[in-house]
Formats: sequence, structure tokens, C-alpha cells
Amino acid sequence: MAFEYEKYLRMDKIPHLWCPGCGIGVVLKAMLRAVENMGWNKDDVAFVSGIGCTSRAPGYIDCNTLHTTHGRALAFATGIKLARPAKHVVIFSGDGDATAIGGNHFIHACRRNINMTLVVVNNNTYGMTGGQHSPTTPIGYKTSTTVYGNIDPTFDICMLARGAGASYVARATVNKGKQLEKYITKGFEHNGFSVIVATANCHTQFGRKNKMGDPISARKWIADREIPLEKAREMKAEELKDRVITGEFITEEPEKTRWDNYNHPVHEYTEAYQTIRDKAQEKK
Amino acid sequence: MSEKINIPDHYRRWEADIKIGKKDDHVTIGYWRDGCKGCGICVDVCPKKVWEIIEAKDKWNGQVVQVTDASKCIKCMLCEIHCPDFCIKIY
Amino acid sequence: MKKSVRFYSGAELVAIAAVDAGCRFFGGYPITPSSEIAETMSLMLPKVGGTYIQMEDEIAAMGSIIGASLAGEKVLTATSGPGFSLKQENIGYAYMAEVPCVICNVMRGGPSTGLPTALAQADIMQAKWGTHGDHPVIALTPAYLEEIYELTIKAFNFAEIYRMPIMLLLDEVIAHLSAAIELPDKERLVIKNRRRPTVPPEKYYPYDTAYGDVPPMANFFEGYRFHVTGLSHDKTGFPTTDPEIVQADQERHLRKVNSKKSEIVDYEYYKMKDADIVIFAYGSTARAARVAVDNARSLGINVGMMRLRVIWPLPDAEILKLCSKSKAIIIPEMNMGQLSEVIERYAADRTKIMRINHVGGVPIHPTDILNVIKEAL
Ligand SMILES: Cc1ncc(C[n+]2csc(CCOP(=O)(O)OP(=O)(O)O)c2C)c(N)n1
Ligand code: SF4
Ligand code: SF4
Ligand code: SF4
Ligand SMILES: [Mg+2]
Repeated sequence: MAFEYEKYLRMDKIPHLWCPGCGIGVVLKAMLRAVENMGWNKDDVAFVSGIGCTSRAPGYIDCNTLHTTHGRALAFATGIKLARPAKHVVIFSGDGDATAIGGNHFIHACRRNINMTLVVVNNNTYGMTGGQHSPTTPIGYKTSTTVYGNIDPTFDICMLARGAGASYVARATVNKGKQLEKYITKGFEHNGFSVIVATANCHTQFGRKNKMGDPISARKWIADREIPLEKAREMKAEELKDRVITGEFITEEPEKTRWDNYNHPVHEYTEAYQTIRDKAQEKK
Repeated sequence: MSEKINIPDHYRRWEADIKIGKKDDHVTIGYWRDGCKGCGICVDVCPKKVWEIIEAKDKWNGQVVQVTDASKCIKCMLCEIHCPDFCIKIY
Repeated sequence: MKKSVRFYSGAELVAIAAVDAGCRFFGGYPITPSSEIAETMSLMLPKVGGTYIQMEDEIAAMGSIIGASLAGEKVLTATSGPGFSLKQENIGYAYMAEVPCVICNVMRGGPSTGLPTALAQADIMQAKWGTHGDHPVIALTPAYLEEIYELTIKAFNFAEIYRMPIMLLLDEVIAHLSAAIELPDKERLVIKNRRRPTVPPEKYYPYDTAYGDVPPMANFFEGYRFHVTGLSHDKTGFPTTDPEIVQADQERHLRKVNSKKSEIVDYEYYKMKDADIVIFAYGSTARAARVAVDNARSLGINVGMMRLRVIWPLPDAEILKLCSKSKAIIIPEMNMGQLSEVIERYAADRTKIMRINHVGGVPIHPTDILNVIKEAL
């Protein structure tokens, strides 16, 4: 049965400003379905973003919405969540927004493990400013600032989040809207900082320079490189170069026996801060 | 079917009796032409070739889509989920 | 009521006054010489159910307080020169989105890392023009410990009344000075809170000028579901590029402060009645100037002082009057003449402006000022 997006949209702002076929719309839709899955009251949700094509999303959502400065969405969101811990705070960010200019806020938000959800739309480029290379542009690809081919090594945002202490981390692509919805829902349900990376197409800026200037071929480029995590676990590192690994990297119940989960956070931040308040008030 | 069909009046509609596996069913496809940007994703993701691209001089990139044959639809929802522009409703 | 007299430092007084003003959120990042404010807030806020957070940098600290303010809290951040520079983009955001907040800058020598532990008044102009674009500005410059308390309360009130960031500029010596202070009666404090919407959500616009130049402000999560952006926007809060709307909005922002100047400007005259030489000062240098005035008076020189408690906006009419009736205006500053330059423009050629500029971290001594007074004769 059709989903009634109208319930969550500011319909007077639709059609949105994204290019025909832009992946951001697909991610926004998955996120709205996830909100419905949670049964959240719209008044209780804040959507926060930085600057970029991706960051225009909150303007379309009929909730409390905040379009901040480039890279800083997580900082603003942290203030909102700490001031109102019972409310839901969701951050929507581009790859440049979240991991270049906002990289510091990204790792520290992961480390604090505040109960918020960050959805990163990774389109491998700075869409809004004309398709310059971002920290996730694969090596060899052309952008408006890597006309001879990109030599900058890339971040794997999921690995970065996991290493920094995020307690739910998952990735899906815009080719799999249902999987995206599932992961964002799980991120919402999770009590801690969750990061969901949506690998998306920016055919207009990134695609055009790499022989996939239309949404169909740009989406295919993503599909062809996708490897589910279970499969990736059995592959060699060199076989995974330039691949998009999808699945859940860290879940609610991390495999405690695995050595590399030792960094898993010990508490959710706003709950921990409440214990500080209790202590401070005892002493009074 | 008991589900309430909620397609605004300004949407185009196509309907057909269909079979999903062995089960009889009915599909109503709603499509919002004004919102459609003619990206062609619905055409690409539909496993049953229900959608096709047609020329539209009034559109920025000169095209929109339409349903060719609703009776082929299997209600997989892929087109609805992947339309970036909130233009498709499948009931 | 029992009066609480005890030793307080200037930094502590900022924190205590903030909490008394209703501040319940502090986002900061340590930097000398402002860290004591953060430390005191981390101690006090959890006691009153508030929140202290040390962010990863000053940019984040500034972002966090804007977020908390939008959620309905009164908020404070404290920093010093380099951190003040980092905050500037988000300070501009708070001007544009009209979010109440107080930024305390304990000034130190600059540019760059400069003189981290030394006295300076280096950020007078950064407080005015630090962020890009036009915007109103209110900055307060306390000179005495009691005044820190009083002006911190005032800063919070201004933030709430005018829906904008307010700068509290402290000289390092004042922040670190300690003395026995009697705090004012809390019951007698005048505390202002942001004007709240009186209309139901469907009739609410976050920047509705129908209510005057300062639109009523809803908080997040109260059913109003509005949009906030740093892009130029119309009354609905959504982006616009309509030249008329953008122009009108920028003019309104400036008008918020310009039309209320008489209620905002705040200065003190000292022995000004028959003065024909005037010392024009603010912050800690005014303390030395006061001594210099007394010393000069005992030598029979007719000198007085005008001291700014609010440095921006300036009291235009009073300064113009000063320029036309005094023989010389002496401006001692712990910078290379950031305020002098402005006052020179007021003076045109009507009076002589004499600068005293120390940037080596050594306070201006009353004798330094007295010498210039003698020169002015
Ligand atoms: C401080 C600052 N620096 C640079 C910019 C210019 N800028 C705007 S959006 C953007 C990049 C956006 O890329 P990304 O976050 O990946 O979002 P996308 O547009 O790809 O969705 C940049 C560099 C800015 N707005 N602010
Ligand atoms: S430029 Fe790229 S990211 Fe931006 S709307 Fe167009 S396709 Fe989407
Ligand atoms: S629901 Fe599935 S089968 Fe039906 S039109 Fe859409 S994509 Fe095609
Ligand atoms: S996916 Fe949506 S916008 Fe794209 S062509 Fe189909 S209906 Fe139109
Ligand atoms: Mg991007």
C-alpha cells in the first residue's frame, strides 16, 4: 500500500530543488518511512542539517527543522538533544558536510554516543558547489578539481564511525530503498549514536565527469560496486578496493567476543549526564 | 481489497485486475505528472516494464513517464520507493 | 534575607550571574584566560538541572549553544581571542536566525596565539565586525567585579529582548581579579525572557514583523514546527532571494538595536561637570584612568572621564557633545587604537584625540595617563 509522504512533508515546498533522479530524494523518503515506523509525533522530532544539496532536506519535512552552517549540523544537534533529551534529533548530512569540514564534529559525536541518528548521503562529491572532490571521491575519478584524476585517499565513513565509537553503523545504497528504511529505523530504535550511510548518485556533478551523467547509469555504477558485508568478510582487502560494502557494521548487540569491538561505548551520553546531575544535587 | 485508496484528484490513475502469484488482486497506480521530473528511474527499476518514457515539451528535460499496461504490475513497490520526487502511489 | 558576601573572581561572577539570569546550558572549549568560566559552569549547571558540555572546538561550542537556545534554554559560551575567531561563522548564524545567546570573550593579546596570559582589549573590533555581513551588535565592557555580575545579567536580558547574540567583553585582569563581593538580592533582579507567540501554530511565523522588529519566538518541540536557516529568509523562515524582502529584513535587524539605542547605551561620567579634558575609557583601563583623574584634579587640572559600560552601540549624541565642548579627549586602550579610530571620526577637527596604546600585555598605569593629561594642557 502506498506510503503517505504528504503526512510528513511541507507540500507547498514540493517539488524539491534536487536534479531529476537525484539520490537524495530516495534517502529522504526512506527516512520518512522510518519516522512512520517509529510512530513518532512530528512535534517531537528535530531534523538538523548543514550546507549542501543533501542539507536542503529538512526544509521539506514538516517537523522542527534546522538548516545550519556547513559541517556544523552535529554541533547544533548536540545542543538541542542535551537541552531536550526526551526528543528525537535526526541529522542529515552530505559526505563533505559530515566528513570534511564537519569531520571533527563527526568523530566526536560518535565518541560521545548521544542518542541521535546521523544519515549521511554519500554521493562522492560536493554536489552543491559544482562537483569538486570530497573525502569519499574514489581514487582515479574526475571531478571539477581533480581533472587529471583524483589522488586523494578516501574515508570509509562506516569504518570511521565505528572507530570513533558510534554504536550503530550501517550502509545501504539508493538502489535499495527498503534496506535503507530498515537501517534508518534500526538507527532510530537504537539508544546511542547511530550512523547510516546512504550511497547515492550525483549524476549531475560527479556522474557527468565520469561517463555516467544520467541517473540510471550513475545508479548502476553504485549497484555494480556493491558488496554485502557478509561477502566482503570473506574477500581480500585488494578485492574490496573501490567497492561499496553494505550492511550493518556495528549493531545494538556487538559481537563482544570480537577483539575489535573493545571500543564499543559504555553509555549513552544524556543518560550519563543525568547521573552527573544526580551527583551534583546530592552534594548540595 | 479493504485498503483505502488515497490518491489526490490531480494525479493520473491507472487500474487493473492483476494476479500476484496465484492470488487475484487489483492495482491502482497514481502518478503526479506536475511533480515528475522525467528521470526514468521508475522505468528502470520496474521488473515488469509497466512504465515508459514519453516526450513532454513542457518539461525541463523534455520527458515524463506513463503506465503502459497496469495489468503487468506485481505491486513490488520498487517504483514508488525509488521515485525521488514523490510522484508515484501504488495501491 | 541573608546577604552572601564572599570572595569571587570575575570569571566566577560571570557564571553565577548567568545561572541567576536563568542560563541552563553552557557549551565551551577551554582557552586561557576564560577557562575558569567553563569550570564554574561545569560545577554549577548540573546542580540546577542544567547542562554543561565541553565540545570539540569553539565552532562546535557556538553551534551547541544555538541548538540549545532554539530548544528553549538561555545559553552561554565563554572563550578568548583565537576561540572568538573560530566562533564567528556561527555567531553570524545566530544573528541571521535571531537566536538569543551570550558570548563571553575574555580578551587576550593577538593576532593569532599572541599573548595568551596577558591583558589586552584586542577584540573590540572583532566583537563588532568579526563575522561577515551586516548585523546589529551589542557588546558590554564591565570594569569592576560588581559590574561583571550586573552586566552579565544585562547581557542575558538583551539577548532575550532583542533575539540576538550579545558580547560580554572582559579584560583578563578583571576576569582573574578576586574580591569580597556582596551579590545583589536575587528577588530584586530584573530578568527578561524571550517574547513567546500568542497565536496557534497554524498562524505562527518565526519572523513575523507584525509584532514589531523583534518577532515572538517559539521553541522547538512546542508544536510550532518551524524552519530555521542561515540563508536569507522571509517571515516564514524559508529561504528567499527576493531583493525587497532581503533588504527589508536586513534593515529590520539593524533597527532592532538602532531604534532602541537610548535604552541600550550605558556609560558613566566621573568628575565631568567642569572638565575640559576628557578621558574616554572602558574596561580595566578605566580603573587606571579614574586614578589619573583624581591625581590630575589634585594638581588643579579640570579633567573628567566618560566610561563605557556598553561599548557597542556607542552613545552618539553624548560623544558628539563631548567632542564639541572638550579641549582634548584621551583614549587609553590595550590595543592599537581600535576605539580611538572611531572616536576620531566623531571628533572630525573639533577636538584633539590623544591615544594611549599598550599592546605589550603591561597594563596602562595612571601615570601614563597623567602624563598625557599634562601634554593636553
Ligand atoms: C564554511 C563554508 N565553506 C564552504 C562552503 C561552500 N559549500 C557549500 S556546500 C559544499 C559542499 C557540499 O558537499 P556535501 O556536503 O557532500 O553535500 P552535497 O551537496 O554533495 O549533498 C561547500 C564546500 C560553505 N557553504 N561554507
Ligand atoms: S547536483 Fe548532484 S547532489 Fe545536487 S541535486 Fe543535483 S544530482 Fe543531486
Ligand atoms: S509496483 Fe513494481 S511492478 Fe508495479 S509498476 Fe511499480 S515497479 Fe512495476
Ligand atoms: S521516478 Fe518519479 S520523477 Fe522519475 S520519471 Fe518516474 S515518476 Fe517521474
Ligand atoms: Mg556530497
